[in-house]
Amino acid sequence: MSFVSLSKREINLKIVYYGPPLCGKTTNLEQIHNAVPNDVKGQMTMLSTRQDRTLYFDFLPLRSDVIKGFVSRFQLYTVPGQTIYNHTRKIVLTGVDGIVFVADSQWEVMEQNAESFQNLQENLASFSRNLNQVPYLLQFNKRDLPNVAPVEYMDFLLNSQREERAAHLEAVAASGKGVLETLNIICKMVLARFIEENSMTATPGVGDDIAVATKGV
Amino acid sequence: MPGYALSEDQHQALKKILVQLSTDMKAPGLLLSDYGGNILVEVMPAGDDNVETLAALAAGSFVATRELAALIGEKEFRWIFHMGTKTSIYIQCIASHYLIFAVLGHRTTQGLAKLYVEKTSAQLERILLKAEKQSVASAAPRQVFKMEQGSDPFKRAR
Repeated sequence: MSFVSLSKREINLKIVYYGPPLCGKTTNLEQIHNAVPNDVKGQMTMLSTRQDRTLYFDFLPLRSDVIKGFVSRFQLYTVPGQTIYNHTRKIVLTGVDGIVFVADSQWEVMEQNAESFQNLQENLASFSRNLNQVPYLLQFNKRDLPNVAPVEYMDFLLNSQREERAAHLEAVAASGKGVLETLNIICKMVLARFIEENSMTATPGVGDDIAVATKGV
Repeated sequence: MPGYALSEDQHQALKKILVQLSTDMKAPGLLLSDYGGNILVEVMPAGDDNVETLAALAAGSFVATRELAALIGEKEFRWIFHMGTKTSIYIQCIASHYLIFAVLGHRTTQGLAKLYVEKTSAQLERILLKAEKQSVASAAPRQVFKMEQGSDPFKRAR
């Protein structure tokens, strides 16, 4: 849920990276932290187990001046992918403004992708929300591996049952490919929704901008 | 789900309360956030770059204690205290969805912290309950938000 401080001229927005275990959510945040300049990022925090599995969440605060006259503060979170941590996923999803669903492209984890996507929808429903109300996109990660499912199949698996199909991007988070593009698209989607909800005037061109960015990846 | 907005007047009123509270509690750092980790007002030492992370972790850990509370038949815990050797942390729930997060030195006990926060909680609640029902449109009716066309929010460092 966005929060605006008119005194500080700040817009605060929350984006959650969701997906099955070991799909690359934490890697996305690490690559973003490595890629962006120091003056737009805060400290990255990882709450992990001794095996480097996310226990609670990872957190990375970013700021941008893409909205004129305001600082847009994006709080990026990941959720723990392991099934047993569903309470934690619900806590992290509270008040979310945008979601990146990171799917692992390997054939053998397609069932986990589908389960995690179903789990996301169930957890949103527990807050009386659904994916039609929250901007989200799909990132098909690990496209460099040899045993990956075709993009069309993954799109069919995660997207075909939905009224409004979400945009999808291909990525190799371990090398940074597609990571910044994913971030920029979800941020623009979240800002477009924010503007739509909070301004009386239309913002022509925002949707076109997002469509062009999606094709480019 | 539309968000909420804090007007300039509300920000100033909250800031005034927190500055006084910080002095009374002898707290080197004090911040007011919501359960999502959004910082409404902060009274922190200059140059502290970790404020956002502190708020996110405080909100996350406090909200997690609700699950603990539920497991033992409680609705929630009103406050939590983490005791360090020189510096401690006190977190208290205000108006159901907000948190006071105080960094305490050795001169302030948890009892004293609780006493001071309780004393100001009614004042804080009045402002917060009004703000949370307030959209940007009602807090600043003429405010128009425009995205810079064609530019990405984030660019790769050179």
